[in-house]
Parts: sequence; structure tokens; C-alpha cells
Amino acid sequence: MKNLLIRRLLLVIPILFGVSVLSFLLLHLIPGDPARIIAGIGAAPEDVEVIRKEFNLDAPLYVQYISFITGLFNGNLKSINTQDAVIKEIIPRFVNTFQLSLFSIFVSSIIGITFGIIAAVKRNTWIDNLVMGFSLFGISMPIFWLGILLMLVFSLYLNILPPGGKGGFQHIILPGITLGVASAAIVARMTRASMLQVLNQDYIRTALSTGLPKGKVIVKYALKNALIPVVTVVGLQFGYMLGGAVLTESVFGWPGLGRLIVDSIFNRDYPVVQAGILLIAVVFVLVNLGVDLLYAVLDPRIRRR
Amino acid sequence: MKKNGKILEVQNLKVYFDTEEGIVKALEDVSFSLKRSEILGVIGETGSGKSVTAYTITRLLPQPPGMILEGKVLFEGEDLLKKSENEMLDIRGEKISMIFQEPMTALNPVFTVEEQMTDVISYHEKISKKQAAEKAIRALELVKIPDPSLVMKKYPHELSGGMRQRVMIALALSCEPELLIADEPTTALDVTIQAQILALILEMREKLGLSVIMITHNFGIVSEICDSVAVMYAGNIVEFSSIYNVFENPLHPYTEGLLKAIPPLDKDVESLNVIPGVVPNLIHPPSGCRFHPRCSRKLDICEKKPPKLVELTDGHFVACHNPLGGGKR
Repeated sequence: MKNLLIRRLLLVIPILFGVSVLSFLLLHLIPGDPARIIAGIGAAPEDVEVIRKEFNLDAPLYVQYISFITGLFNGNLKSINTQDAVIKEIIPRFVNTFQLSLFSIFVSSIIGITFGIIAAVKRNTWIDNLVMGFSLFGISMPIFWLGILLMLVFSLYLNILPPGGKGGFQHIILPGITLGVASAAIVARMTRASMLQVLNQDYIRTALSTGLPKGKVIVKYALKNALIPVVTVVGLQFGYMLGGAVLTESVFGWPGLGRLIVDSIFNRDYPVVQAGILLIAVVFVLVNLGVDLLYAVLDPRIRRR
Repeated sequence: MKKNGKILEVQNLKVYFDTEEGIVKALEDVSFSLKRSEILGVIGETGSGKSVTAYTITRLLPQPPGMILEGKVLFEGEDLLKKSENEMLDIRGEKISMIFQEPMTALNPVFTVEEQMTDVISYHEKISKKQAAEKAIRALELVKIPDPSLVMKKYPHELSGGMRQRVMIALALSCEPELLIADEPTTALDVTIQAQILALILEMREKLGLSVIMITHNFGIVSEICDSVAVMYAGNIVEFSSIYNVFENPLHPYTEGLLKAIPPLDKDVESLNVIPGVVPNLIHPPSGCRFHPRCSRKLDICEKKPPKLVELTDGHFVACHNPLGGGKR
């Protein structure tokens, strides 16, 4: 287990280097002169020169890369818009997104796994059809539509939850459920498929033949085996959420990372965009690392590899 | 309750499966009985209904698609088919246990031996996990597993096939059941391990007074450990008697064919004796006796009327219109 952890952590290093290079090169891969791109169309040549100097764009690429990375950490890399250090701009937004994602993935896992198990156990009955129908609805439904609908019902008509913004716990409920329900639909489908496969296995028959109650066999002996593909999907969903759920954040005015990046793209605030992309990539890699380790916790056969 | 010392009586079991291709008539009229501390071999080809019989007895048959249409399964005088699912929980694992063909997949890969055994023991005996662990170790010792406390901490993939089957047997016997149903327990093992497992089952019978139903397609296993044998063909018991009767004096042409198909060890043979034809499709089984299209002793009546299982000589049951050995009906 410890060896596995060390090996996976070592593997993360080249991946992180790769994504940092890519996000750095973003500015240089866009056709044209980076200084002119940053300055915007119709900028005066003097302004372009100022930017060229400020961003050190005449230096060799590797020097620029190093100053990009160090600037990220020591605060020298600044947002063009606010002139604040990029890191100061991004981190609070990321914390907001993290809170929302954590709540959503919790909603999604609880609903998705529960309904997936029920559908699998009651396969080919009306209960199964109902659950799978809802799941199809959940997958097909535009996320902003559900958000607006929830907002109408709970904020406008019932007036029990705030329609948006960031504040106490009640502010997270509507966007969290909006984001969570869409992903719960996918989790439910995966859980059902995986459970169906496991329920046909010999060891389930063995467990039943020892006289353990069916409920215990399903929730303990079948579920642990069925969880691996489910954990994969939940991990991916969590990664996407952490990358910023732009639609949900926009509908509910949630000040998250996704909106910051979109705004920065419109404002041509390239340092923020680059840092944002790098952060999302890092988070995605770390989430996947967590998923890998969770595999090993669930399945002893993976621990030894 | 224990009339005739019979622990299990299966009477006229009829089980069909509702599949997309049609109704599979898996068991048509299956009857046999088992005395206390007896080992009964149930022998037949793949698809003859051996396992369906076993799963019907323990009520583990998936329903649907399975349908138990007729019959009784009298265990210690009580009909298991009339019991509720909750009542069955106190029978499975506690009074009737099963072991399976594939020790590789019959144990749960993501739980330790300890977890799997203590769960069952503490559930049935209503004792703490700690007491259950002590009992599990004793069960592992009983099946001659070296260093049981170490094996307890292992996952199934860390054990060899033979060891896994021993663990499976220990699990099945951990709550001292009366009846063990063994569904081809040695098929997936190599011959030396096979012999060890069979010896173990015999020993458990001696030590615990266990009754055993041994499902197999191997006459060698039957001759080694069974007291009596039920021969199944296409969902019917065609012959049922003591092992001596069946081997020395088979009455059903199918049994005779099976015995003849075993190559003799003392002679060189060019080709094996086989029964012509194949096992019938059980959605549209042959009319009358299901064996008649392959039978060398076929009479006209065989196509029309299914033969009943009758006691032809003392304790020797056969379902045939024209049995061998000059036996008259």
C-alpha cells in the first residue's frame, strides 16, 4: 500500500510538469505576437512594448517558463485587470468551487448509489424502469434549466432558500443540488450496471447459501465489489466539478473558479487564464490519484500490483 | 420427525424456467431420499438438472425465471418449499450448507477469510465477532488448514485452489450443519487435491455425522465416496439405488451406457464407448421417456408415456419401460 502510494506520487511529477508547460505555452501557441494579443486589438505600439517588457516576452522560452512558475508562487505574476497577484485572485474562487463540488458530489453519490442499487436489485420491474427513467431525464436535462426551476420553486414560490449568491449554508443547497442531480443520474446508471454484474457472481450465491440476509449480502458483499467503476465515475465527476461548473455558477451567481476563468478569457486576462487552467489540471490529477488509491482500499488485489 | 432415519426426502419436484426462447422444462419429476450420515451422489451430464435440484432444495433458485411448480422437499420432515424466506435464513448455513465447483470465484475477493467466516458464524450463533473468530479458527483446523490464524487474515487470491476449497468447506461447516450439498466440489481442482478434498468430506461425515449430497458428473468420485447414487437425465431421475446395485446391476440403459463409457484401465481400447446422440433441448423435450431417441432398448410405449420411477427390486428404483437385467415390471 505504501509502495503504491509512493509510485503513484512519483508518477504525478512528470504529469504536473507536462500540464504546467502546456498552460504556459498557451499564450505562445495562439498565432501572432503574444504582446499584441495581450494588449488587444488596436493597442498603441508603445503599449505593446510596455507589455512585452513587463511580461519579459523577449527572453528565451525556458526563462519565461521559470519566471511564470516562480511568479505564480511569489506573487509576481499579476492579473492584468486588477493588478493583484494571480494566486490571490484564484485561491478564494477555488475554495468556493471546492465547497460547492464537495456538497454536490456528496448529493450525487448518495442519490446515485442508492438508486443504482435499488434499480439493480429490482431489475426489469417498474421500480427499475422508474429509476432509470429519472436517470435518463437527469442526464438529458440542461443544467441551467433545472437550476432556474429549483430557484423558481424554492426561492420565488416557497421562499425558503436564497436564489443565489454566497453566504451561509443555505446558499449552497440549490446550486449543490442542481449540480449533484445531473451527476447522480450518471452515477446511478453506473452503479446499476456494475451491481447487476456483481449480483451474478458465484460469491454472491455463496454468501446467500450461508444464510446471511439478502440485504446484508447486497449492501456489504455485493456493493464493495461493485464500487470500483462507480468510484471512477464519481472521481471524474468530482474533477469536472472542481474545474468549475460555469453554468451552475452563472445561474446562481456563485463566485467560483469556472466563472473567473470565463470572465478572464473575455477580458484577455491571460495570466489568470493560464494559472486557472494549471490549477484545474493539477486538481484533476490529484483527484485521479485519490481514485487510484481508493481502488486499492476497495480491492486487495490491486494493492499488490 | 426422523422417520426411517431419512434426513431429506425430495418428492416429485417439477421446476420450469421461463426464458425468452420458451419454457425450459428443467426438472420434470425428481424424487429421491437421503438417510442420515449418508453420502448420495447425484450424477448426470451438464444440463441434466443436478444443480437446479440443489438450488431448489436450498431455495436459492432465482425466481423468476425459475418456477417451482410441484413437489415437496422434506427436510427433517418439514417441507422447505413452504417456508418463508426468513425461516430459510435459519436453515441455510445453519442446517443445510453448500460448497461449489469453482473455489476461485466462490469466495468474495474483497473480504478476508476472517470477515467472511465470522459474519456467518456470528449471525447464526448470535455471538460476538471475537467468539466467532475463535470458532472460525476451529473450523479451519478441522479442515486441516495449516496455520489457521494466518489464513484468517488472508484474502482469497492469496490462497491456492485447494486451500480455497478447504476454506469454503470450513465456511460451510462452521455452524455444524446436518446436510452438505456439494456442487461438483472437485471439478476445478487437480487430481491430488481432488483426492484430498474427497477424503476430507468422508472424514467430516465420520466426525460430524454429516449427510452429503455430492453433485458430480464423475463416476469415479461416486464410486470412491458415495453410499447411494441418483442418476439424472434431462430433468428426471432415471435410476436411484445403493452404489452397489447401480454399479453391479444397472437397470436403466442410460446408466449402463454411462458405465460402459468409462474406459477400462486394464485393456488397451481403440475408441471409447459413447451413448449415441446428444442431450435433448429441454424447451422441446422428446415425448414420453426423454431418453428414448438415444436408447437401444426402445419400445413403442417409450415414445408415448413417460416412465414412473418405481422400486423394481428392494431399494432399487428405476424409471424405464424396458429395464435391463431381466427385471420385469
